[in-house]
Amino acid sequence: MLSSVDSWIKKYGFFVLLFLAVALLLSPSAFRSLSLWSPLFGGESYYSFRLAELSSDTGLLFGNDPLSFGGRPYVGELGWPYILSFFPELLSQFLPFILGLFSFLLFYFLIKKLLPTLAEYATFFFVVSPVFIYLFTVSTPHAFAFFLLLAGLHLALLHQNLLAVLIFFLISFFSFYVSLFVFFVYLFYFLFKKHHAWYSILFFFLLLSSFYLQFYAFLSFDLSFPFSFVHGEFFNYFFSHTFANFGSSLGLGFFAFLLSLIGFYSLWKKKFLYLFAYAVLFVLFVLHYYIESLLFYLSAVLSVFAAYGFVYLLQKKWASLSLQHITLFVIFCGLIFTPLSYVNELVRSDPSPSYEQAMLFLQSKDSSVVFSHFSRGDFISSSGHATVTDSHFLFAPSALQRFQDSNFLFMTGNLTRSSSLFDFYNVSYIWIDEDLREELYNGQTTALLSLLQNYPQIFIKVFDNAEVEIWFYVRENDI
Amino acid sequence: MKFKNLFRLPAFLLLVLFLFTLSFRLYFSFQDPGFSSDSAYFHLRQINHFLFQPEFLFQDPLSYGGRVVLYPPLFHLLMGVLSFGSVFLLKIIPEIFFSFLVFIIFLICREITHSNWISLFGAFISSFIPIYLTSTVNTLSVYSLALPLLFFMLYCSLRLEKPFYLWSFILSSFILSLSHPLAFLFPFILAVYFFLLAGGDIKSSPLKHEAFLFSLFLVFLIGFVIYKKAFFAYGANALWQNAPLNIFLDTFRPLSFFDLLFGVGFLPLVLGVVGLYYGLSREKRKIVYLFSALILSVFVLLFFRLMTFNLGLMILGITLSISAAFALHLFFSYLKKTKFASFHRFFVFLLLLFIVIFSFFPSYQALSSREGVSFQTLSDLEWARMHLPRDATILGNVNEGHLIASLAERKTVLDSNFLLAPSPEERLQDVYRVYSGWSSLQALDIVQKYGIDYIYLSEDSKRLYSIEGLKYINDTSCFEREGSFYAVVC
Repeated sequence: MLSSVDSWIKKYGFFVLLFLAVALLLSPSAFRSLSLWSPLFGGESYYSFRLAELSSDTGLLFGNDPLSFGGRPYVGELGWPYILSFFPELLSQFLPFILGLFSFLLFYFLIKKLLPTLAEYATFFFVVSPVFIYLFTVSTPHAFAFFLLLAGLHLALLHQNLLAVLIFFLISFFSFYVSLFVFFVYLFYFLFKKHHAWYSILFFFLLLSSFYLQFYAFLSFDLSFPFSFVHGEFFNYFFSHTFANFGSSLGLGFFAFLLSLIGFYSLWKKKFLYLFAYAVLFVLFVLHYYIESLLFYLSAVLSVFAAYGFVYLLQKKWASLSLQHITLFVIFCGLIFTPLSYVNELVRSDPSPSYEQAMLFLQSKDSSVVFSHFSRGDFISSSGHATVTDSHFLFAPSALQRFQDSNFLFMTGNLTRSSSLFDFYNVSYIWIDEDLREELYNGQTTALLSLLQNYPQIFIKVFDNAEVEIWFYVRENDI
Repeated sequence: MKFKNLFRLPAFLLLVLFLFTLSFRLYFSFQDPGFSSDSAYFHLRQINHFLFQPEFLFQDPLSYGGRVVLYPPLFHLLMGVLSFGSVFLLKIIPEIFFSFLVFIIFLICREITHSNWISLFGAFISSFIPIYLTSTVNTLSVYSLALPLLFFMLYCSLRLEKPFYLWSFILSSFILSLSHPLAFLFPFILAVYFFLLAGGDIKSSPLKHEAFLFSLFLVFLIGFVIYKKAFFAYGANALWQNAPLNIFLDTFRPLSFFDLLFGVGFLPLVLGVVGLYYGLSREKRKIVYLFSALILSVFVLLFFRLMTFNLGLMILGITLSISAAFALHLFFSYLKKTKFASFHRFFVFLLLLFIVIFSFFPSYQALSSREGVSFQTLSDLEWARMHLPRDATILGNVNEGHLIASLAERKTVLDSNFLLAPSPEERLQDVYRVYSGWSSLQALDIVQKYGIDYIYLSEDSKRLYSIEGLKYINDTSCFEREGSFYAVVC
């Protein structure tokens, strides 16, 4: 029976997987447009869209982001905004999907070449992982970086090392961390293999030039490099950050992770054969805690190990066939449940129609500074207003200070000190929504909320819908 | 066990033990007019809702003034079907389930000791663990299903080679996963078991590996389906049920030696530890490793505060009883080889005496002195159901929330089910301020905040907050007394 299933998989597996990939990538947008929600998912998409428009207006090296953190030198990868800048709205919506399809094909054929018996399984685990859905639904530069990495690996497999290095170098325009990671993997791999070392040297110099081109502002300004001050406690942060089933917005599927552990177990006897892969995986696993984008690559590598685990369970001689069938059925249900539940969450991700109304209201006002929680920053800046903080802390000027001041503003009930900070940051509007009320104040009217309510001559409510309130701050001089 | 064996003495005594345990539990159950705990009324309401609607109460309009409730539904379904909502039957059925544990422990002990008599002692000891009885008698507790199932699964996992036990194991895994998060404990126990076996250089059977894999994937699948919302809301912190800090510190408190001594009892503790020591170090038997893994797992979970204190202690108590049976087996085997072999009956008598003194008597005392829901509270809430407006919100203490929702059928401000509850910490403090505070203004603020129409001042609240009455009641005309209730009139 197993052999007939196997031959069916060999024959039709690819097409079934292709259909599955298309369905999973299109379903969030389809469900979202049915409910008349914005076609862009989450703050990251809005951020990319805004940078694309900025790039379209001011050219590739735009140098300055006037809205983030009240205006800052733009230090970051230029590739994605530049590509989107040709047709910002259209490409923000459809380019991730197209890259997803290409990445699917590249991943499938890559595994087919390396591990022919595992290609269908590994691709299945890759496609049903929440990371795949996120990566190719939400408009972020990582989609392109991932696609380039797969293309580079293909070229490397075809012994087109120079082309591969050039492609790997291009990754640095979409995710510098990833290209750096690829560089180290490449370096160690060739040290391991003891040939083609000069490609590593070329790669190094190319990266250096890319770094200088994109991050020169980092070298010339005193910019902060905060990594982790927004991290929560380790235990919860680790689970909630790593696994989609525990609430991560771009986490691994827990079932695929368990299967990958079984994959490790099944390969344990050949441990030295896969030493390099284990090392890469270990480093990815440790580093993803600090560099979220590495989770995409971790997921791809784990998919291969999960395939090993699944095939091991499939082919292993079970002492009880009934237990085998039920276990495999449960695993299959778990693997299907994870992406379905993830798509459901993605469909309901911000901005909701209420957020969009609030953003439209802000768009109708003259550009100013809007104060809110950093997680709302991308929506605010997409409305053409500057933020005090947003989620792009890296290289932001006095990021820690602004973060602490924001926290203070949310938590204080002292009008004098609040006003002085609002004045200092030139704040004109304050964005408060239901989620913030619940998360920061447990639904109570305390601290900033009590100030908003008790001083109607200073804080004027100018917008209110089911979710969002926007308050206008009247400066002392204007009263 | 074959039918004809039923008429043999040990089987007969086992049946007697079952009936005795059941009678003992029922005797204390029927001492109270209602159930003995507030949480029992949560289950009662869920069961009644299932029977009358018929659907599960996932969106509760009364708890916290209306909120989402996450709870595995199988226990409510099963109890609903078996009892038809009759309180009388709901008092009896869980006690029967709990008493079934006698058979399961007997079978496990027999697997370890190969002695019916010693196994009877093990089953006897396990039935009279003080914390187990005080936490489970007359509480309409989901543990009546979950605990016997957990031990039955462990027993089945010893005999997976036989199809009956294999299928029983599979079925039990489904039932337990759909009944209580205790199901997560099973794969954890097996993982610790494999670890211990590896340490002892003993190979485990492939069937156990397969059972481990099956239960691992199953409990996570069902867990993710049931608790999806909680995981998305709290991440891994959902394990702590969103409990306010002071309640968390109490419910998930770590274990001390005296907790063990008074909770589990002297006899199972001492004999259990001896049994464990000999089982692990001298005999190196897989089955002892399995139950050692259970004990170790519970210790680890209690240490990291991943398991409630009471549940941990109950499982420890029952497992130590099993281990105690092994110690007794070793003792009597040794006795046979000594010159005291002729005193065999004397030692049996002594053991029975010890069980009565150290297990039965403390359990009896603990149950006698336990205070359940008073008759006064029941009649107060019955009065509230008859006389107060249907849309009224009644404020009670945290241990009365389910009682109010179930008996008075009115909205509450808070109850002890904190998972996905709106700001329970804040509400707990506010309720404390209403009962213990001096300021009528502050109390009125809180009353307004939650739309409270009535404050219920029970004897339980007076004890809990160490008050005679509401201190600000004479400073304002906003409250009017109606029996044990204070109506908010302005």
